[in-house]
Order: sequence, then C-alpha cells, then structure tokens
Amino acid sequence: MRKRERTLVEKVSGLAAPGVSSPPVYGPTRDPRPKLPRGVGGRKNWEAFWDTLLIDRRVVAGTARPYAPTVRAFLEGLDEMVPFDERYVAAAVASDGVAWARDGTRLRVAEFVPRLLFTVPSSLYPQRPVLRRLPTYYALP
Amino acid sequence: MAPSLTLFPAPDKHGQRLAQKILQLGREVGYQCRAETEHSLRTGMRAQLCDDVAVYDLTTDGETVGAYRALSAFYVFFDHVLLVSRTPLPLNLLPACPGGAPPYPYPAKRLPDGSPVHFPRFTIAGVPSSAWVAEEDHSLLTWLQQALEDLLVHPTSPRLPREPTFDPLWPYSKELRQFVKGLGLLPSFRNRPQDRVFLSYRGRYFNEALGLSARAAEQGIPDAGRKSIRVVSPSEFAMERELLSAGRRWMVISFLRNLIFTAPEFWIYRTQDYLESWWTLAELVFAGVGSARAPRASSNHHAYGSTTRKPTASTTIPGTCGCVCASGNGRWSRRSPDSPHPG
Repeated sequence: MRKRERTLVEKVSGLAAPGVSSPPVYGPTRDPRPKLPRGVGGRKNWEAFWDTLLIDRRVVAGTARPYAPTVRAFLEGLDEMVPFDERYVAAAVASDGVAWARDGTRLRVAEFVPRLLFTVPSSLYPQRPVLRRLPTYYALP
Repeated sequence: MAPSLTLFPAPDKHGQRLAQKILQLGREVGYQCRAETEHSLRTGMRAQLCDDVAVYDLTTDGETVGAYRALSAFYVFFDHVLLVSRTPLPLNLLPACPGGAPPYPYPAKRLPDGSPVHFPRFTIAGVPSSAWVAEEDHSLLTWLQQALEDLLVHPTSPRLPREPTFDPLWPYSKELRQFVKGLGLLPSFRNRPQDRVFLSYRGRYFNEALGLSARAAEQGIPDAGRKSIRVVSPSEFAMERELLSAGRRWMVISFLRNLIFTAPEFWIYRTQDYLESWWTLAELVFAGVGSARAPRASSNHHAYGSTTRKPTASTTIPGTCGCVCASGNGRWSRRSPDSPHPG
C-alpha cells in the first residue's frame, strides 16, 4: 500500500470519527472547516459529504461483480455509487416511495427506525442542539 | 471512604424510577451515590473528572435531551463513565465500556423488506446473549452491576479534587489543562484482550460467522488456538441496503477501523462473494492500513499488536470457507478454501 493512499484514507476517516460531534463542530478559535479531500456525487463540499445519500450500484442492480482488492478500487467505489439528494428521498418516502437519481436510476425506498446523532454540548453555544434525529432510508429490493 | 458515584438521570418519571434502582444498586455494590439533576457541562465535567464513577441515563425519545447536556467530550477517555439507556444510543457515541444500551434498531425485529434484524451478540455479566431484556430493566441493570463491580476492584484512573470545580474559572485552570494534556490512549483502544480477532465477512453469512466465533471461543481453531472473535452484526453500524451519506460511510469505517486496529489478528471468512461488497473491501483496506502502520522492528510482532505469531502468518480454518490473516508486509496471503462454499 502506498503511503499516499494510506494517508488519504486515514485522513478522510478522521474527518468523520465517532465519539465527538458529527458533523464535527469547529470552534471560533479554530481554522475554518478543513478542505474536503474528495468530492461526493460530483460536488466537493461539506454539504454533499453529509447530505448526499449513496447506495452501491451492485446492491441496486443485484449484480455480482467483485471489487479489486485495492485502495483505488475502494475510493473509486465510493465515487461510482448512485447519489440521491436527501430531500428528494424524503419526498419520495412521503409520496409513492420511488426515488430517482440524477442519472435516471430508480429506487424504491422505505423509511426505517431513525438514528440519532450527538453533538458535544458547549458552554459557548448553550442553545446549540445536542441531539439530531437522522431519518433512515432503506432501498427495497 | 466509599468511592463516589454520580448519576445523571433521564428527566421523566420513568427516568426517576430507573434512577432509584441505579442508586440502590450503586449503594449495594459499595458506592456513595448522588443524583445530579442539573444537566450542564460543568456538572458533567465535575462528575467525569472528579468522581470515581459517573453514570448517565441517556434514554430519549429523540426530542428530550436530558443528560446529554452534561455529557462532556471527555467521556471517550474514561472507562469509569458508564452510559446506560433504555433506547439505542446515538450512532456516533463511543463509550469506553459499550453494552449499557440496546443495539440499533431495537425494538424492531424486521427490516422494511421483511428480512429479520440480526442483532449483535453481546455479553452481560459474563453470559452471552443475543436479546436485550427490557422487562424490569434486566439487561441494563445486570450490565451496570457488572461494570460497577469491575470498577470497584480494578484501579481507576487519576481524578481531580472536587472542591476547585465550583470556581467559575475552573475550566480554564492550569490543573485542568495539565490533566487533559495527560490523558492517554482511549480506553476503547487500551483495554482490548490480546486474543481478539476481527472477522471480516459478508453479512449474509452472519450465522456462519457466529458459529465460527462460538467454535473459536469454546474449542479453539486448529493452528490458531482459542480466540475471541469480534463479529460485527449486519445492522450494527449500517445496513447493506441503507442509503448513507459519504460522511456516514466514513464514520462507520472509523468504527470498523477502531475494531480492526485494536484486534491483534484480522481474519477473513472467505466466500466467493467476499469482494462484491464495498464494506468488506473497506475492512480489507483498513487491515492493510493497520498492517502498514505497524512497527516492523520485531519479527514476533503481528501486524496489529503483540503476539507470538509471525507477521506473515496465515490460517486456513477447516470447516469454513477459509480464513486468511493479514500479512505484515501489506500484502495478502491467499489460501484455497478447505471446504465447499457454505452458501
């Protein structure tokens, strides 16, 4: 494994590390949010990183195609996933349950038990929400 | 003087009832207990940094914040901060001692497509269990009793004196800054038994993975001995058919990374479809990252920790599809399966 690849995957996993706030909260004394090393669904910003929902094409299509056991295949696998706008998925669940991706992929989705996200409380920002309910969307076969 | 325990109860009447049970349990085990109803960062830090044990009842309906307001970020460093809940914990919490809350998606038993939920196996008071028993808070209290008894016996990490915490400027004091600077490795990394194995497998073979885990723990595996195998259940961090943001995916990978890096060995339950999942590929990649990070000075160190096995050891386990250990040189040793494909 090349050092550059190793550094990249470690860096990105560190950006979403559990235990503290998700998405991370950057205080007033810290630099602005770090630069995102890779884009998501054609966009390279933090909103896309946290709000664009992804699903593996292999899961959607039910195809049996193995990944190459390499870091490159792992990172490209993320790039090749089908991106869905979270708002459209929420709207689809509220109507006929069919969500469409920008590339025309059609997906039947259902809502499942929501998860919670914790944000570390702050004495500087006492009004900041500490808990956030995160809807869970499940792709139906 | 009896060791001190501070409880942050959940703020409803059910929380008050559970608080009474927890306080009674704490006293029976031998603690001097108090309930803290002021849920603030200051009271949370005071309990975490000064008391022998801090217990948080984090039960929530998703709206009620309660004791979360007092959960200072230091909790990840302390195994004496015990998080309990009647509902699953937020997905990004990282308790040093996990097990005090039902796993997600409790109490649901079926996924939206009708398939059963596979809950992770866990141990409560030394007894393996796959079901969370909510009646009379049985599982919660049994887990808590065990954790309190363990903390009473084992030496605890250093504490700060309680009195100065009432000073308004205490959070900025030199003592506190020095204490925080001295905090070491997260307990979730530190307190792992050395016989642990991380098992990488496709979720559809969960039952086979559990079977292997039971066999490894009870009888041992030829050429590998008795091992404690960590089997991540298919719904524990994420479901295969779940739509997840890149941020959520990397968060799950961070959880897996923690488990992989703290297990001295990494095994693959090899099936023909093993590499058809992005998740198993992620586990493989991070096993490789761990392998590349490991010190190579000593030849009797395995890729992820101290062991008597050589770094390049690989193991094929009869009766399964074949398991392969990570190699210390960052490559993967491959073996032909000993037995036919289980699926």
